[in-house]
Amino acid sequence: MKTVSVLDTGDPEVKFVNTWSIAMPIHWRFSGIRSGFPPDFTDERQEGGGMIRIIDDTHFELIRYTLFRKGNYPWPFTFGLPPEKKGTVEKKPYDKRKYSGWEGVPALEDLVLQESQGDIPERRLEHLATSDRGVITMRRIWHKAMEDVANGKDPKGVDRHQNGMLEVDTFHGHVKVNELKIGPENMPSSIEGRGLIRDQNGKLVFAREPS
Amino acid sequence: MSDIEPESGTSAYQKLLGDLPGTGPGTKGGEMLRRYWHPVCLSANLKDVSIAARMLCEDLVVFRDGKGRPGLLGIRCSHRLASLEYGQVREDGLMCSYHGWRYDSQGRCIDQPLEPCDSDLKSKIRHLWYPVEEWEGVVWTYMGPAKENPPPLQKIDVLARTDGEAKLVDGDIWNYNYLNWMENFADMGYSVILHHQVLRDLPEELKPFNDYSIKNWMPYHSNLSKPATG
Repeated sequence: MKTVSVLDTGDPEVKFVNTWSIAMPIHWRFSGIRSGFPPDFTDERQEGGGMIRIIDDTHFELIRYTLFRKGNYPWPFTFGLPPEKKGTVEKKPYDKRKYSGWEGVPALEDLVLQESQGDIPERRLEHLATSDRGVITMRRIWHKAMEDVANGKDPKGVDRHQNGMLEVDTFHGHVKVNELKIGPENMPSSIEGRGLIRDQNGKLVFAREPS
Repeated sequence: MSDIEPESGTSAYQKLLGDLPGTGPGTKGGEMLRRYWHPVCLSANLKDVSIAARMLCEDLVVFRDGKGRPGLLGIRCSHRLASLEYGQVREDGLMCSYHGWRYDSQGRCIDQPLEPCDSDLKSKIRHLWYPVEEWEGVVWTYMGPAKENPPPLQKIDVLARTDGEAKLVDGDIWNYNYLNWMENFADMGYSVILHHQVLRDLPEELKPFNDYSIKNWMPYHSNLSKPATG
């Protein structure tokens, strides 16, 4: 499953596209290649993600993986505000909460808010909204997989006749509106540098020509 | 949460919500999870000492025999239920420290040193076991049916790439259902709110290549005196 956000940039001809991926049932991926840089720019080609070791209904272990590629710029370029602007929420002396507001530490923020949903959330009390369409889609996929197994079939992602690789790539960067096509036929990709990278003239270039 | 009570009854959707978080054997969610390969531990951490590993609500022990082959067994010895976490690695398997029953990686009992020489009791014992594979620095297991003939390990591309170096970091245990975490990745909108996801400024040498219009979507953060501009 691929989650895609398309954000306005101020220029109606340009959108910012961000993708995350899930491979059932335990893998996630984010932060693939980003467009807008020279074709040989590699610092942003840090591939992040991970997998879960499911311990039981209320415990799991994160096993994070990151692919580091040698870059031609020495310092990291990442999402997020500069360090001097992180942690701008003033912690009041009488505030005993684990988390008081934005602190610029994604792992802490994820931990506290997800834990606060309940160790097993009572999802019947939710009120899902338009922005939850990804969650709804994911639950449909899980539901279909559970039904398939109950009916004696293999679930999505299990193929007994192949021994291939799961391509779970991601992408983030700006894309011209007339080149934006959400769907598997034209999904920007980070595999081996394939994907949308622009030269100085704004034309798309490929580190490797798509086959 | 509102003061609206959840609907009573057992609609298909309510049933689904109840089934989703299950991970144990016999649950709908747990049976689905058992059709996939799962990581047990990093290869580097599996030396010549057995390690207790609870997986999908089952208490197991992972070990590497004297020939370097990994194995995954039920943690309680079939004899008197002592923990094989305290077992001793032997050339061909794992030996319970209590009375010496020894198992190979497929759960066959291969020694019972206190039994009479002519006893065939060990041939009647098949201890709980699961198939394991090592691939790209991870010990994986398949806990589904027909474990003598499991589906191929689902290989995740980033671990096999040759255009960089993959780093694995384990040991971060969180105390709630795994779906709280996985649903995060179908829910990208939260990132802009919770993490204040913005783009940082560009290095000077990259500015000629970049489309500056992307900076205009930065969200304004109430704790900053002005919109964040890198």
